[in-house]
Amino acid sequence: MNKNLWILIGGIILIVLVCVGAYFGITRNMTPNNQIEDITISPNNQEVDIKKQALFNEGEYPIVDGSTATIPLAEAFEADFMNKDIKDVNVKHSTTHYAYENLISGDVDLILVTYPSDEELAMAEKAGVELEITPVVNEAFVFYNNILNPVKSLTLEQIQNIYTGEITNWKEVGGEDLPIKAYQREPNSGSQTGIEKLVMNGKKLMEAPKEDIIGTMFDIIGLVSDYDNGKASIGYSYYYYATTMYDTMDKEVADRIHLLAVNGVEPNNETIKNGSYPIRTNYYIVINAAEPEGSKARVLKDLMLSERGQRAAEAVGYVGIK
Amino acid sequence: MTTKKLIYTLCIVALFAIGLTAGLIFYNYQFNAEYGYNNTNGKSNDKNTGLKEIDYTFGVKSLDSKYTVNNIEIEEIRYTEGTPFKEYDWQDKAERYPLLITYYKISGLKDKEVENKINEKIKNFAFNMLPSGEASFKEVSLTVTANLSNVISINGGSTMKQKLIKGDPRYVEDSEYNFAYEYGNMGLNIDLKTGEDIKLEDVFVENYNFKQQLSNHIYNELAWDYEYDWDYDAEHTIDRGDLEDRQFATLYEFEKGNYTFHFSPTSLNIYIKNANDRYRSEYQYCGLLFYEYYDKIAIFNRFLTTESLFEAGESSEKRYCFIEDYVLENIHENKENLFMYFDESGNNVYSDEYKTLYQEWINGRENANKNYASANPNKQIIEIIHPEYGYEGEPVNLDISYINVDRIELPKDVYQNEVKELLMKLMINLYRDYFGEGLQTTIDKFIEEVKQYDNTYVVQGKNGIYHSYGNEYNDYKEIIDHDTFFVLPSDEKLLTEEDIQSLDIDKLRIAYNEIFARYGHDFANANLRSYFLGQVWYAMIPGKAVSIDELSDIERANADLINKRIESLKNSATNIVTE
Repeated sequence: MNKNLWILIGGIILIVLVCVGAYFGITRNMTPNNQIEDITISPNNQEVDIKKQALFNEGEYPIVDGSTATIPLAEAFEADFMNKDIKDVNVKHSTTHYAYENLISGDVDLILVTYPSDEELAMAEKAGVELEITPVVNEAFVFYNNILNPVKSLTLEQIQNIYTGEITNWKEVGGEDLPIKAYQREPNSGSQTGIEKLVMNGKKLMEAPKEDIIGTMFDIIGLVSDYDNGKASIGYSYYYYATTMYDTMDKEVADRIHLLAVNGVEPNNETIKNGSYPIRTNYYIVINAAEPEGSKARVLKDLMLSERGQRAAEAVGYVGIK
Repeated sequence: MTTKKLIYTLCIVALFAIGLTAGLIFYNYQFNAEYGYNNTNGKSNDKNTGLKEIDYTFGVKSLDSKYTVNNIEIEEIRYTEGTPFKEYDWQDKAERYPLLITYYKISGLKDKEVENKINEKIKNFAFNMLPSGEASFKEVSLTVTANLSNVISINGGSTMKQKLIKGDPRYVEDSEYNFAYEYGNMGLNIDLKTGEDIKLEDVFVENYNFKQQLSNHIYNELAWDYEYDWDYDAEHTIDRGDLEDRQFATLYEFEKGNYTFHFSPTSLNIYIKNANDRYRSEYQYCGLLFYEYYDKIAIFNRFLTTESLFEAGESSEKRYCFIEDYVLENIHENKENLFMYFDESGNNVYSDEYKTLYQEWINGRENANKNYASANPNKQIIEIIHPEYGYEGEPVNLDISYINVDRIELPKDVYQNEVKELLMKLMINLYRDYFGEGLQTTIDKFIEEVKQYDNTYVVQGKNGIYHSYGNEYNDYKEIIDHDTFFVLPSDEKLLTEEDIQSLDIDKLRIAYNEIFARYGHDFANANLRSYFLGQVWYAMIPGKAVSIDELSDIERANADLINKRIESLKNSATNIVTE
């Protein structure tokens, strides 16, 4: 064939290749989804998190419901068991009563809740469902006063008597001659229900003057920790709330609060766990007792009660049961 | 083949190939670019979402919400899907699109790359807010709540109306009103220099522990909700009570970063994800006023620069609202360079410069309306511009982002003396939501000025309205002559063809039925029923079926006339319902 013809063919091929290359080269960066791989570099190359195995397949995690208070707990469990970042786990709870309803009707596998009320037990009985109730984490009720107050410990009876109004001065409990400023909480708050149910043991809470009923945890801590006026004060709340707020607050304020020992026992994770701290309660795993061995609900329950599960719960601020 | 021919051939092939390649690249750019404003006609084909943009509202580009504040021009863009329909909710007779997204496009920045980036962000923000699921309609709308000190803050709101089906706990057997509204709220805040999002921490001074204050605000919001939550079932209080649990659950979501926020010159609004299914709203709202934190707020200064970011060239040094050393007691001494500040009672006070700007904006709208009127000689426009109203004596909020503009368009030959009453009706409907307990005033007290340009009215709202605790309907009777709220005065005078000529079929239908409605006719048709129940004058007599014999001679004749007209239009119309 003619030499020039070969050159022509070669030239055309070359032109075509150049154009095709240019086309793909330019348009590659225009597609909306850039396929650039995200490479995450751990901040400290020596310490790399040992990735745990996800314990359930994606989309097969059991259906969990519960109280509002156990949302962080449920998320901690799911994040750990599914090997996800907690920010990627989004749990929705229906609140205690509806969670029980959903368990009884079989719409959910497992619930994380407070102990069933009489009404809830009746509901289960009516539906012919036996509830299997197992504590999953501990919770406690704590009292706090100002760090400058020499009183560091009270008996349960003394606490009750302060709140019935029988004891009115710190000197009656071994402190200075100073009237006790016993703040109470709003009826809707959890803490007010807590003191009634866990502490007073049938004794009647005194009626607090309006200015002594404090709405928010932050306010009550502010009052108790107050440099000038906090020394006479005493406040209360659930341990989980108190420790969460403690982490949130300015250190200088938090350092002026002292958690009172009750019957000589200081409240901390250890004493709450081993039962020596006297004012305690729990959150519970509740499943249908008829769940067969190896069912999703049972597998999850065992996981939650396992070492791994308990560590996951403690990592987000709960007190484990083991 | 000769060498010359070879070269020519190669050149032609090369040119052809280059041209084809360039064409393909260009084509790719048009349709694969992310949300590009590539087209000059204001439309964009968004291949990614499959949605198409239509022209601006009212079909006239210059008319829409387009205003300049702080050297940024903000243009409103509407994006719809589906055929609009009339929604007969008991108060709402609005025209609805199945899908409507209203968002903004800004211009005026020197750095066009940043400007485009910001516009992309705003559009994405609006589109991502669209709720999922099947619905009667879905809407997203944005509001610029702050545009100052080189930052812009936008509030996005979404609404979805869903028909409830059996099995949904809210479903009520045999009810006409089995539908639910769902709302969403989010915020977007952008640094105008970089186009990057602003973080919540940027609002406050360094190292300020906002979280502990936030926990308080959350508690207070929840306590308020708790007080007024009709759905709250006291029997089902969990052992520990709801309030603190919710507070901590909300704080927990905040810590996880599940929140957005937006701010105005005077307040901060945070929306934190609600992890609890039971509550109606997807987000827990938490708001606070800046002046409560006056020495902790950094947003008014943080993003200022000595260089100007704006094409208008003005220095961005000017601070709008707070100044660094703002102290409540000394406010009067520090008035220089203040656009808006607070007096000792915490009320807004506006500088003369601001008031000028505000008036310019009003003038801008007037001109736009005039232009629109000229282009549409068969229509007349009523536009009511009203700033946020307070109670009598309270200063009005003149922030342009809070200005409400309401427009109604009428056919030109609607009775001139009805215009004023229509204005009144519009104002009453607007304020009924704010002051539900009753309105005791006259139209003059609502409206400062009514200007008329040919067939256009511009109404400027007055600041401050009177608030009373009277019975709502009694107040209406004081104010209005109820006969002026009809489509036609069909009970007063004999109508002619000319009178009804310009009415469309829907209006005619109403006009026909209102003759009977005046006698208290109980409508079986749901749409008509809804419509008339929304009329202030309508006094339904349950079960009553008004017969034509009950009507007066004039009414009978008018009914006949309107009916004939409907029949003639019916031949070309569909979906017409008469009773």
